[in-house]
Amino acid sequence: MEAFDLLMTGFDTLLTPTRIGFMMLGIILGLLVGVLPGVGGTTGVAILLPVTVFFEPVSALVMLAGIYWGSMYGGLITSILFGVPGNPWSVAVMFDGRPLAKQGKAGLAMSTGFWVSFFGAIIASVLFTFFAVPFAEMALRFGPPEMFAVLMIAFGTFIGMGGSPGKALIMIAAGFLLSTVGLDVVTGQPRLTFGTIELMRGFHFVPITIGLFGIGEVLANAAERYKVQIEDVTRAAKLGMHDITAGARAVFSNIGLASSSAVLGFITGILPGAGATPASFMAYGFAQKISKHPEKFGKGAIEGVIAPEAANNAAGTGAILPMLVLGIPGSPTAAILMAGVFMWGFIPGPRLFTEQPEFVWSFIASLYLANIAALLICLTATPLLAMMLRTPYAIMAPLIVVLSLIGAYAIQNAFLDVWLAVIFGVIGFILRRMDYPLAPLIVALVLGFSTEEALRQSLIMSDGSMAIFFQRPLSAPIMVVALLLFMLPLFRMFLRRYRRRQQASTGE
Amino acid sequence: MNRERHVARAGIGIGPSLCLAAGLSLGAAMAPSNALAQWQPERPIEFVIQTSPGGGSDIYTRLWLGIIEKYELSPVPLTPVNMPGGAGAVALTYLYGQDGDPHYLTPTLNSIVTTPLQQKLPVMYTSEDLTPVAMMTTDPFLLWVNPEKYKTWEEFHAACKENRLTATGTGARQEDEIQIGLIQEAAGCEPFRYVPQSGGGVVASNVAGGHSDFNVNQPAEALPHFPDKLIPLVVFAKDRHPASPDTPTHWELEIGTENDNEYAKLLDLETGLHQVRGLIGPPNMPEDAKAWYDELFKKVFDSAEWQEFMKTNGMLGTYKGSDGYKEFLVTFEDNHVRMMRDVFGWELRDDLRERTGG
Repeated sequence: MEAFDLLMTGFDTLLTPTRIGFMMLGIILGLLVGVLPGVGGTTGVAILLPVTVFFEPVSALVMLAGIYWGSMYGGLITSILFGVPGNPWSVAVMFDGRPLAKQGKAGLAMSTGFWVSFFGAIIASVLFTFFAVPFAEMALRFGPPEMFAVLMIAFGTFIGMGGSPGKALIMIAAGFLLSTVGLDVVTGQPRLTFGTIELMRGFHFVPITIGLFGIGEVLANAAERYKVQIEDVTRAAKLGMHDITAGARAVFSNIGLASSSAVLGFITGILPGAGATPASFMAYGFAQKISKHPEKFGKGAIEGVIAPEAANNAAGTGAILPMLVLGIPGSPTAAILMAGVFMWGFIPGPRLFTEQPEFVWSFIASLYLANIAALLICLTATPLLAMMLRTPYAIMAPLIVVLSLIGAYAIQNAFLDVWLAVIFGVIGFILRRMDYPLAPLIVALVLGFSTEEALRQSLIMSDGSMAIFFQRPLSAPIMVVALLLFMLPLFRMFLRRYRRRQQASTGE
Repeated sequence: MNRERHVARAGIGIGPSLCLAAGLSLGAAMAPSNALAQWQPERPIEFVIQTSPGGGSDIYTRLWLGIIEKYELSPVPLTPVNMPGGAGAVALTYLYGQDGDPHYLTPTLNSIVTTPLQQKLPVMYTSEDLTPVAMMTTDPFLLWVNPEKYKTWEEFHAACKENRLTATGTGARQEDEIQIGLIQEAAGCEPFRYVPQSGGGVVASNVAGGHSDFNVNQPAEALPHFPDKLIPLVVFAKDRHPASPDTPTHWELEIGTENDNEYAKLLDLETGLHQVRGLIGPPNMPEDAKAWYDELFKKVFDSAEWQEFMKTNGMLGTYKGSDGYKEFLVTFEDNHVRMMRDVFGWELRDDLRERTGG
């Protein structure tokens, strides 16, 4: 149990009033920036990075990491309450969290989210503590073809998700189309920008998500003449601690789903350049695939809260691992933390573990403490947060719109994004009315760029041969699984037809 | 952006109002005493960063800001504003729009040269159309490989003459790809396959993991993998690199020394195409504002923190003020036009102004 002893020395190093103080400060700041849409944990960490240059390294690292963990918890609050994601990785939790809130179960959705975030983070921390090096070695074996195969699995899980497959396909195509705007991955030339410089930055998915969900829903509610609000007031009325225990029970009764989502999230987080956002979508897709009642997804299934939240918190933890062990940042936030590590005078990599064990292990110890602290703070705040929904909708709606527009602007400091949020708000309203699913569009938009990049990188490596995906020892099995996932709805359809025909023939 | 700033201030335990008051009084105190530089910033200086938080130039900028705050070098706050997009196109266009107003600065990457040469932006040559302010460092390029594949330049060279090797780097049609193309021409290799990546850390891990054969990079990103998974074979500079004294220079290996050192000069740190980090301002920045910034950034450059950071990251410190940086950029741009258009045959913008001596 060498790792265990080291962890204990880590706790020893960490447990000084200053360091714990900085950690708590980080968590609280993280919760706050997590709540503000558009200002995710990444921005929060970036803002405070210069300040930490002159800190003692352990305090600096645990504070910045605290912001990261805090924001992972805070992001789900606005997603569930208003349908405005506080963080990119809080988009998936919105798909079912928001419907739950509309049914008056906001408290339950949030406390479940917090509990499962904690659960996911702790699973990931344990994996981190005991298997850091082997997992990091695994990450190195993932090149572009492997990344492409993993992304194909992500899409595979979304095939046949709710509603008409035709409509889902249209939405996926629209998402891909939007993701191609900007500079071409390989030639660096502008695509679909119509000669404008504004469009060269491409479509960021956050303003579009804010528009489709946040503003789109305000419009939809307005059209339904406050029906929703009346329901909210009557149902949100019963407050109290029981939501918190109910949340814990919900996690316990889905412990299998929570654990597998956490492991899935952790592994996705480790992969270079993937991070928490794809992890949350993949976990959501999987949860729906293996669910006994997939039709409830998108309408307020608690599994739809559990899976993405377990996955994104585990992925957030996982993304730090290759950064410390190999110097490969698994996510943008990890990239900023890595810059910090350099600034504090260390070089990330295997040698960090042997040369600076105190630094590394006190950070690992902080994973545990920070998550316990974040959970306690969040659970205490849950009833208060849920009470916000008792505010009359006439007051709430303009606040949501303002919050949405600020969030859209903040992500890239671009005014075009504000217009995008408004335009996609209207589009979202219309699509909702026509019963088009919005989730596939967001997934394609989020993963579209990485998918295209991985595909084209792989094809450059193989001089254009698709065989590369099936020739490499790691990508081949992943690709086969992905293909099976794509075929699954077809198989099911044939099976159903076959049975029907049999029934018909025996009936005759 | 005020909100972000307040969060930052709260982080070090100073309330926003207190900090504002401190800033104001400091400004009032410094204005009369500083007689040398006539210009003083009158409102917060906006740092327009051309990447998202966590991108290369973002990290440098935030370190400089930390140093400026620590030593209270500026009477007004400096606020970072991220404007990513179009490989710097969005930030450069925005900066161009602030004609004559010295309260805007952009930290530079080489894309401030490569992007406007290819895209039709209002800026074409940064050295002429914007105001170079200060050059803070140059990152020397080294050629990195996985030691399981090649151990010396000779092995690498033999392999690249026989087969097409796969290279990887950051961005498409940007500095890494240019440098790799240059090596191909200089060493007479079979055409490399170039795999563009969107992030720096991924480049190193792709070579360390064996998915690509080599890359060129400054030492910082490769150091975590050194020496088990990545080793440098060549350093492209006159002198050997202090962080890696056993690695020969391209002059020693006689790479590109034919035709009167045609390519060797372009590969070299001082005369060639390397990663340069500095600051630029909007067009027509007044002379006294340039002088003020010169004084400010010279202090940042000399600070123990920046010197230490450059040392840890294996960067070579050369400070240049506005005129020196401009002169440097002119040659730098001309070299780029020559390589990108004349040697690689890439399509540059069709309205490219010809410059004499280019």
